[in-house]
Amino acid sequence: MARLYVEIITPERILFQDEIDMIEARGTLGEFGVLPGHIQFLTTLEEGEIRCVKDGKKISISAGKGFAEVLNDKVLLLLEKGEILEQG
Amino acid sequence: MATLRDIRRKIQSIKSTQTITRTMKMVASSRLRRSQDELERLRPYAIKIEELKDRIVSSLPESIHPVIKEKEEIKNVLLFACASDRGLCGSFNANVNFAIENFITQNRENYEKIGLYIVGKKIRDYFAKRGALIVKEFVEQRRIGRETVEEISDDLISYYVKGEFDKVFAVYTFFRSPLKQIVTVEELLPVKSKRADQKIDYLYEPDRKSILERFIPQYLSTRIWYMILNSQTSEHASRMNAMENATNNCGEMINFLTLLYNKKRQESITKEMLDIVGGAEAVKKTTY
Repeated sequence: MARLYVEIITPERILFQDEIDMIEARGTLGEFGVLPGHIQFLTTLEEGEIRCVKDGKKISISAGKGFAEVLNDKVLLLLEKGEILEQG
Repeated sequence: MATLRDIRRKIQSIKSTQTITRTMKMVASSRLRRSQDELERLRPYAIKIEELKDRIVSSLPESIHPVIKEKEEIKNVLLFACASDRGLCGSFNANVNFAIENFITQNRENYEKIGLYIVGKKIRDYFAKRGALIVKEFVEQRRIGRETVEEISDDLISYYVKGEFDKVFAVYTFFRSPLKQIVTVEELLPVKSKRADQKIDYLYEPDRKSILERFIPQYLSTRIWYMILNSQTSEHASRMNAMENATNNCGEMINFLTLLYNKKRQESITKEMLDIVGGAEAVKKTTY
Protein backbone atom coordinates (compact mmCIF):
# COMPACT_ATOMS: atom_id res chain seq x y z
CA MET A 1 0.00 0.00 0.00
CA ALA A 2 1.16 3.51 -0.73
CA ARG A 3 2.57 5.41 2.14
CA LEU A 4 3.38 8.96 3.05
CA TYR A 5 6.96 10.05 3.44
CA VAL A 6 6.95 12.56 6.27
CA GLU A 7 9.70 14.95 7.25
CA ILE A 8 9.26 17.16 10.30
CA ILE A 9 12.07 19.66 10.67
CA THR A 10 12.75 22.43 13.19
CA PRO A 11 15.66 24.90 13.24
CA GLU A 12 17.09 22.80 16.05
CA ARG A 13 17.06 19.40 14.44
CA ILE A 14 15.31 16.89 12.19
CA LEU A 15 12.49 15.88 14.48
CA PHE A 16 10.95 13.05 12.53
CA GLN A 17 11.61 11.36 9.21
CA ASP A 18 9.76 8.20 8.26
CA GLU A 19 7.18 6.50 6.07
CA ILE A 20 3.78 6.47 7.70
CA ASP A 21 0.16 5.70 6.91
CA MET A 22 -1.56 8.86 8.05
CA ILE A 23 -0.85 12.24 9.58
CA GLU A 24 -3.07 14.77 11.32
CA ALA A 25 -2.15 18.34 12.22
CA ARG A 26 -3.67 21.67 13.17
CA GLY A 27 -3.81 24.17 10.34
CA THR A 28 -4.87 27.78 10.55
CA LEU A 29 -8.40 26.89 9.41
CA GLY A 30 -8.68 23.83 11.61
CA GLU A 31 -7.53 20.27 11.92
CA PHE A 32 -6.73 18.33 8.80
CA GLY A 33 -5.61 14.82 8.02
CA VAL A 34 -3.50 13.55 5.15
CA LEU A 35 -3.66 10.09 3.63
CA PRO A 36 -1.68 8.79 0.64
CA GLY A 37 -2.97 10.23 -2.62
CA HIS A 38 -3.76 13.62 -1.10
CA ILE A 39 -3.96 16.65 -3.41
CA GLN A 40 -1.02 19.11 -3.49
CA PHE A 41 -1.62 21.19 -0.44
CA LEU A 42 -0.01 24.14 1.29
CA THR A 43 -1.01 25.55 4.65
CA THR A 44 0.17 27.38 7.72
CA LEU A 45 0.21 25.47 10.99
CA GLU A 46 -0.83 26.69 14.41
CA GLU A 47 0.46 25.49 17.75
CA GLY A 48 -0.99 22.11 18.57
CA GLU A 49 -0.54 18.40 18.34
CA ILE A 50 0.60 16.43 15.30
CA ARG A 51 -0.43 12.80 15.19
CA CYS A 52 1.10 10.23 12.90
CA VAL A 53 -0.08 6.66 12.48
CA LYS A 54 2.30 3.96 11.37
CA ASP A 55 1.28 0.27 11.35
CA GLY A 56 -1.51 1.06 13.79
CA LYS A 57 0.89 2.74 16.19
CA LYS A 58 0.42 6.36 17.10
CA ILE A 59 3.21 8.92 17.27
CA SER A 60 2.38 12.18 18.96
CA ILE A 61 4.32 15.41 18.52
CA SER A 62 3.74 18.75 20.18
CA ALA A 63 4.32 21.44 17.61
CA GLY A 64 4.79 25.19 17.37
CA LYS A 65 3.73 27.32 14.43
CA GLY A 66 4.96 26.43 11.01
CA PHE A 67 4.18 25.37 7.47
CA ALA A 68 2.98 22.16 5.89
CA GLU A 69 3.32 21.07 2.30
CA VAL A 70 1.88 17.94 0.73
CA LEU A 71 3.30 17.02 -2.66
CA ASN A 72 3.16 13.60 -4.35
CA ASP A 73 2.78 11.66 -1.12
CA LYS A 74 5.63 13.59 0.44
CA VAL A 75 4.72 15.67 3.47
CA LEU A 76 7.06 18.40 4.61
CA LEU A 77 6.45 20.13 7.92
CA LEU A 78 8.64 23.04 8.90
CA LEU A 79 8.05 23.98 12.52
CA GLU A 80 9.40 26.76 14.70
CA LYS A 81 9.75 24.24 17.49
CA GLY A 82 8.56 20.79 18.37
CA GLU A 83 9.01 17.82 20.62
CA ILE A 84 8.12 14.14 20.27
CA LEU A 85 5.72 13.30 23.08
CA GLU A 86 5.16 9.59 22.71
CA GLN A 87 6.11 6.95 20.23
CA GLY A 88 4.62 3.53 19.65
CA MET B 1 75.48 44.15 18.44
CA ALA B 2 73.26 41.72 20.33
CA THR B 3 74.76 40.47 23.53
CA LEU B 4 73.98 37.14 25.14
CA ARG B 5 71.57 38.77 27.52
CA ASP B 6 69.69 40.53 24.70
CA ILE B 7 69.16 37.26 22.91
CA ARG B 8 67.97 35.53 26.04
CA ARG B 9 65.48 38.32 26.67
CA LYS B 10 64.20 38.10 23.10
CA ILE B 11 63.69 34.34 23.41
CA GLN B 12 61.72 34.83 26.61
CA SER B 13 59.49 37.44 25.00
CA ILE B 14 58.75 35.26 21.98
CA LYS B 15 57.98 32.34 24.26
CA SER B 16 55.33 34.35 26.09
CA THR B 17 53.83 35.47 22.76
CA GLN B 18 53.70 31.83 21.72
CA THR B 19 51.81 30.92 24.89
CA ILE B 20 49.23 33.57 24.10
CA THR B 21 48.74 32.53 20.49
CA ARG B 22 48.54 28.88 21.47
CA THR B 23 45.83 29.67 24.02
CA MET B 24 43.91 31.75 21.49
CA LYS B 25 44.09 28.89 19.05
CA MET B 26 42.63 26.49 21.58
CA VAL B 27 39.85 28.90 22.49
CA ALA B 28 39.03 29.41 18.81
CA SER B 29 38.96 25.70 18.12
CA SER B 30 36.53 24.98 20.95
CA ARG B 31 34.32 27.85 19.76
CA LEU B 32 34.56 26.51 16.23
CA ARG B 33 33.29 23.15 17.36
CA ARG B 34 30.30 24.68 19.12
CA SER B 35 29.52 27.02 16.25
CA GLN B 36 29.85 24.26 13.68
CA ASP B 37 27.46 22.09 15.66
CA GLU B 38 24.89 24.89 15.69
CA LEU B 39 25.33 25.36 11.95
CA GLU B 40 24.83 21.65 11.27
CA ARG B 41 21.61 21.67 13.28
CA LEU B 42 20.14 24.53 11.30
CA ARG B 43 21.28 23.24 7.90
CA PRO B 44 18.42 20.77 7.14
CA TYR B 45 15.82 23.40 8.01
CA ALA B 46 17.58 26.06 5.93
CA ILE B 47 17.84 23.75 2.92
CA LYS B 48 14.22 22.60 3.14
CA ILE B 49 12.82 26.11 3.53
CA GLU B 50 14.91 27.20 0.54
CA GLU B 51 13.43 24.38 -1.58
CA LEU B 52 9.93 25.16 -0.37
CA LYS B 53 10.48 28.84 -1.23
CA ASP B 54 11.48 27.85 -4.78
CA ARG B 55 8.30 25.82 -5.21
CA ILE B 56 5.98 28.40 -3.67
CA VAL B 57 7.40 31.46 -5.42
CA SER B 58 7.42 29.84 -8.85
CA SER B 59 3.79 28.73 -8.41
CA LEU B 60 2.52 32.20 -7.57
CA PRO B 61 2.09 35.32 -9.71
CA GLU B 62 4.51 38.14 -8.90
CA SER B 63 1.73 40.58 -8.12
CA ILE B 64 0.60 38.74 -5.02
CA HIS B 65 3.23 40.12 -2.67
CA PRO B 66 5.61 43.09 -3.13
CA VAL B 67 8.60 41.10 -1.84
CA ILE B 68 8.53 38.62 -4.73
CA LYS B 69 8.03 41.33 -7.33
CA GLU B 70 11.10 42.64 -9.09
CA LYS B 71 11.27 46.43 -9.30
CA GLU B 72 11.27 47.92 -12.76
CA GLU B 73 13.81 50.59 -12.04
CA ILE B 74 16.69 49.81 -9.73
CA LYS B 75 18.18 52.96 -8.25
CA ASN B 76 19.07 52.24 -4.65
CA VAL B 77 20.83 49.11 -3.56
CA LEU B 78 21.43 47.81 -0.07
CA LEU B 79 24.27 45.52 0.93
CA PHE B 80 23.80 43.37 3.99
CA ALA B 81 27.34 42.67 5.16
CA CYS B 82 28.31 40.26 7.86
CA ALA B 83 31.73 39.75 9.49
CA SER B 84 33.17 39.89 12.99
CA ASP B 85 33.70 42.33 15.85
CA ARG B 86 37.20 41.22 16.63
CA GLY B 87 40.44 40.96 14.74
CA LEU B 88 43.35 38.53 14.93
CA CYS B 89 41.60 36.15 12.59
CA GLY B 90 43.79 36.27 9.52
CA SER B 91 42.28 37.83 6.43
CA PHE B 92 38.69 37.03 7.46
CA ASN B 93 37.47 40.62 7.83
CA ALA B 94 39.75 41.97 5.12
CA ASN B 95 38.27 39.52 2.60
CA VAL B 96 34.73 40.69 3.32
CA ASN B 97 35.83 44.33 3.17
CA PHE B 98 37.51 43.68 -0.13
CA ALA B 99 34.41 42.01 -1.58
CA ILE B 100 32.22 44.96 -0.53
CA GLU B 101 34.64 47.51 -1.89
CA ASN B 102 34.83 45.62 -5.15
CA PHE B 103 31.07 45.53 -5.39
CA ILE B 104 30.84 49.26 -4.76
CA THR B 105 33.46 50.24 -7.34
CA GLN B 106 31.96 47.92 -9.94
CA ASN B 107 28.41 49.13 -9.44
CA ARG B 108 28.89 52.78 -8.62
CA GLU B 109 27.87 53.76 -12.14
CA ASN B 110 24.79 51.53 -12.26
CA TYR B 111 23.03 52.65 -9.12
CA GLU B 112 22.24 55.98 -7.56
CA LYS B 113 22.92 54.96 -3.99
CA ILE B 114 24.57 51.96 -2.35
CA GLY B 115 23.78 51.54 1.34
CA LEU B 116 25.40 49.24 3.86
CA TYR B 117 23.62 47.28 6.54
CA ILE B 118 26.37 46.00 8.78
CA VAL B 119 26.88 43.26 11.33
CA GLY B 120 30.37 43.41 12.85
CA LYS B 121 32.60 46.16 14.18
CA LYS B 122 35.50 45.59 11.83
CA ILE B 123 33.59 46.35 8.64
CA ARG B 124 31.83 49.27 10.36
CA ASP B 125 35.16 50.86 11.26
CA TYR B 126 36.58 50.31 7.79
CA PHE B 127 33.66 51.83 5.89
CA ALA B 128 32.89 54.59 8.38
CA LYS B 129 36.43 55.85 7.78
CA ARG B 130 35.86 55.81 4.04
CA GLY B 131 32.58 57.67 4.29
CA ALA B 132 30.29 54.95 2.96
CA LEU B 133 26.55 55.20 3.56
CA ILE B 134 25.81 53.07 6.62
CA VAL B 135 22.10 52.51 7.07
CA LYS B 136 22.24 50.48 10.26
CA GLU B 137 24.84 48.58 12.23
CA PHE B 138 24.98 45.82 14.78
CA VAL B 139 28.25 46.15 16.66
CA GLU B 140 29.64 44.52 19.81
CA GLN B 141 26.80 42.06 20.11
CA ARG B 142 28.05 39.39 22.45
CA ARG B 143 25.68 36.88 20.99
CA ILE B 144 23.48 37.34 17.97
CA GLY B 145 20.16 35.73 18.82
CA ARG B 146 16.93 35.00 17.08
CA GLU B 147 15.48 38.43 18.00
CA THR B 148 18.33 40.30 16.30
CA VAL B 149 17.91 38.18 13.20
CA GLU B 150 14.18 38.88 13.10
CA GLU B 151 14.87 42.59 13.51
CA ILE B 152 17.27 42.52 10.56
CA SER B 153 14.84 40.59 8.39
CA ASP B 154 11.93 42.93 9.24
CA ASP B 155 14.13 45.93 8.47
CA LEU B 156 15.17 44.58 5.10
CA ILE B 157 11.61 43.72 4.13
CA SER B 158 10.29 47.14 5.12
CA TYR B 159 13.10 48.94 3.23
CA TYR B 160 12.19 46.94 0.16
CA VAL B 161 8.43 47.29 0.43
CA LYS B 162 8.56 51.02 1.22
CA GLY B 163 10.84 51.55 -1.75
CA GLU B 164 13.86 52.91 0.11
CA PHE B 165 15.92 50.25 -1.58
CA ASP B 166 15.10 48.39 -4.78
CA LYS B 167 17.42 45.43 -4.35
CA VAL B 168 19.18 43.84 -1.39
CA PHE B 169 22.38 41.83 -1.62
CA ALA B 170 24.15 39.90 1.11
CA VAL B 171 27.90 39.59 1.59
CA TYR B 172 29.09 36.96 4.03
CA THR B 173 31.65 34.21 4.45
CA PHE B 174 30.39 30.76 3.61
CA PHE B 175 31.83 27.99 5.76
CA ARG B 176 32.86 25.17 3.44
CA SER B 177 35.25 23.40 5.79
CA PRO B 178 37.57 24.36 8.68
CA LEU B 179 40.26 24.97 6.05
CA LYS B 180 38.17 26.65 3.38
CA GLN B 181 35.86 29.62 3.73
CA ILE B 182 34.46 31.47 0.76
CA VAL B 183 33.29 35.08 0.66
CA THR B 184 29.93 35.04 -1.09
CA VAL B 185 27.73 37.76 -2.59
CA GLU B 186 24.09 36.74 -2.98
CA GLU B 187 20.86 38.41 -3.93
CA LEU B 188 18.52 38.56 -0.95
CA LEU B 189 15.56 40.62 -2.11
CA PRO B 190 13.40 40.39 -4.15
CA VAL B 191 12.79 36.77 -3.28
CA LYS B 192 13.14 34.81 -6.49
CA SER B 193 12.74 31.19 -7.40
CA LYS B 194 15.73 29.32 -8.75
CA ARG B 195 13.38 26.99 -10.61
CA ALA B 196 10.88 29.16 -12.40
CA ASP B 197 9.68 26.26 -14.57
CA GLN B 198 8.31 24.35 -11.61
CA LYS B 199 4.69 25.38 -11.32
CA ILE B 200 2.58 23.46 -8.84
CA ASP B 201 -1.15 23.89 -8.49
CA TYR B 202 -1.49 23.85 -4.74
CA LEU B 203 -4.62 23.90 -2.67
CA TYR B 204 -3.95 26.88 -0.40
CA GLU B 205 -5.29 27.17 3.10
CA PRO B 206 -6.25 29.84 4.19
CA ASP B 207 -5.24 31.68 0.99
CA ARG B 208 -2.11 32.46 -1.02
CA LYS B 209 -1.56 35.92 0.36
CA SER B 210 -1.77 35.09 4.05
CA ILE B 211 0.46 32.06 3.62
CA LEU B 212 3.05 34.19 1.87
CA GLU B 213 2.78 36.94 4.45
CA ARG B 214 3.80 34.46 7.11
CA PHE B 215 6.23 32.48 5.01
CA ILE B 216 8.39 35.29 3.65
CA PRO B 217 9.58 36.72 7.02
CA GLN B 218 10.23 33.22 8.34
CA TYR B 219 12.17 32.32 5.20
CA LEU B 220 14.23 35.50 5.21
CA SER B 221 15.10 35.37 8.89
CA THR B 222 16.16 31.73 8.51
CA ARG B 223 18.35 32.65 5.61
CA ILE B 224 19.94 35.55 7.49
CA TRP B 225 20.42 33.40 10.57
CA TYR B 226 22.09 30.78 8.40
CA MET B 227 24.39 33.42 6.92
CA ILE B 228 25.35 34.77 10.32
CA LEU B 229 26.07 31.29 11.64
CA ASN B 230 28.19 30.57 8.57
CA SER B 231 30.05 33.79 9.12
CA GLN B 232 30.66 33.10 12.82
CA THR B 233 31.86 29.57 12.16
CA SER B 234 34.18 30.87 9.45
CA GLU B 235 35.53 33.49 11.83
CA HIS B 236 36.48 30.89 14.42
CA ALA B 237 38.01 28.61 11.78
CA SER B 238 39.94 31.50 10.33
CA ARG B 239 41.18 32.60 13.75
CA MET B 240 42.19 29.05 14.59
CA ASN B 241 44.30 28.82 11.44
CA ALA B 242 45.84 32.24 11.95
CA MET B 243 46.80 31.44 15.51
CA GLU B 244 48.16 28.05 14.54
CA ASN B 245 50.43 29.76 12.00
CA ALA B 246 51.49 32.35 14.55
CA THR B 247 52.37 29.63 17.06
CA ASN B 248 54.42 27.78 14.44
CA ASN B 249 56.25 30.94 13.44
CA CYS B 250 57.08 31.64 17.08
CA GLY B 251 58.52 28.13 17.35
CA GLU B 252 60.68 28.71 14.29
CA MET B 253 61.98 31.98 15.66
CA ILE B 254 62.76 30.41 19.02
CA ASN B 255 64.74 27.64 17.32
CA PHE B 256 66.73 30.14 15.30
CA LEU B 257 67.47 32.35 18.31
CA THR B 258 68.41 29.40 20.52
CA LEU B 259 70.93 28.31 17.90
CA LEU B 260 72.33 31.83 17.75
CA TYR B 261 72.45 31.99 21.54
CA ASN B 262 74.37 28.71 21.84
CA LYS B 263 76.84 29.79 19.16
CA LYS B 264 77.45 33.07 20.96
CA ARG B 265 77.90 31.30 24.27
CA GLN B 266 80.37 28.82 22.75
CA GLU B 267 82.24 31.70 21.16
CA SER B 268 82.66 33.53 24.44
CA ILE B 269 83.78 30.35 26.23
CA THR B 270 86.40 29.73 23.52
CA LYS B 271 87.58 33.31 23.87
CA GLU B 272 87.93 32.99 27.63
CA MET B 273 89.84 29.71 27.28
CA LEU B 274 92.21 31.33 24.83
CA ASP B 275 92.76 34.17 27.26
CA ILE B 276 93.52 31.77 30.11
CA VAL B 277 95.89 29.64 28.03
CA GLY B 278 97.62 32.74 26.68
CA GLY B 279 97.95 34.17 30.18
CA ALA B 280 99.40 30.91 31.53
CA GLU B 281 101.95 30.77 28.70
CA ALA B 282 102.99 34.33 29.46
CA VAL B 283 103.43 33.55 33.18
CA LYS B 284 105.51 30.41 32.31
CA LYS B 285 107.83 32.48 30.13
CA THR B 286 108.57 35.09 32.83
CA THR B 287 109.72 32.44 35.38
CA TYR B 288 112.65 31.43 33.18
